[in-house]
Amino acid sequence: MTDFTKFDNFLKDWDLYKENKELWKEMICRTTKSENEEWLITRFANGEDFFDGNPLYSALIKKKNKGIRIIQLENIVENPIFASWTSTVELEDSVIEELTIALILNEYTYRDAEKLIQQFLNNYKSFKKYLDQLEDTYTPINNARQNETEKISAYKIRTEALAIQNLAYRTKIEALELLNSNLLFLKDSESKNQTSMQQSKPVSIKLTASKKHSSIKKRIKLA
Amino acid sequence: MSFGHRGRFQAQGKNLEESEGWAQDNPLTIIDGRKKLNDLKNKIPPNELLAREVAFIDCRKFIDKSNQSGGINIGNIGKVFRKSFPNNFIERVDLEVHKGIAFVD
Repeated sequence: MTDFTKFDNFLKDWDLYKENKELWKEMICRTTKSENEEWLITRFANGEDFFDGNPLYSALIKKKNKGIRIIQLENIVENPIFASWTSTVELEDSVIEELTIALILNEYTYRDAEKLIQQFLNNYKSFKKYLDQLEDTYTPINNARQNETEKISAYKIRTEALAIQNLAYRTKIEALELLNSNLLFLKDSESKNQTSMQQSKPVSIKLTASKKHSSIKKRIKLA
Repeated sequence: MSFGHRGRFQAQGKNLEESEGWAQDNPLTIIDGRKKLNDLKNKIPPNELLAREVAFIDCRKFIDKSNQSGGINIGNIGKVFRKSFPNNFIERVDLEVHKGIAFVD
């Protein structure tokens, strides 16, 4: 039996990523009883892989004009645990019906994905019913995770708001302290000025040019 | 007439299906790609936009990353490009490149 927990870090380890991709390839091969080509691009033009699990694996089942896309998500509360939908894709020479499954991998989601893929390929009537059934099962869990995400976001926003408020408060205190020290300095200078005005005599400045030197000398004499 | 470069941005959901596509002779530039994504944002109602806020941000980040990595090139390998950007995957933004090159300078 596969230990799915070993793929928890699939987005951090390239070898694990490839092994995880093989897991899906084998499962779809087993279901279709044939080799299927990957039909979606997972590389940029420079050859670098997206390495983000979106999609982790895709398969085109040509004889049925059907495609499968597996988006595997990191196990964090922001991500839904299981979601699936169908859409049509127009290619140059054919129209493909595509089943997309986005999931956080564990033994239950893997089992549900496998059953859904089997029905999508082999029994379309029961597939639609099963798709709805899975939506009913997983939507409350996904919504709970979404609410949790919103709570986390709200908490983060509140924490940041408090930090900003705190910073504003400290800035205000610092500004008040600065203002206060300026006022004290002004008051001090003012009182010193008043004292010196009362004590000192009028000051006159006399500028004279010396004939002995070529440059002009400024001589200030206090009378 | 068959254009050499085709694709679309699409906002999908329970009550929404809106898209902004391209079909042209020249590769889609990153500037035009960003513009088309913004045009899609402007097409959808505010509540639907709110539900896809993260999806639009992620899509924008992805096309910027593509640009830094040489773009998306479908070439003649018979594959297509499809990517979905979720909030919860029911309300989502899809990006598809069916043919040619996209998100280059």
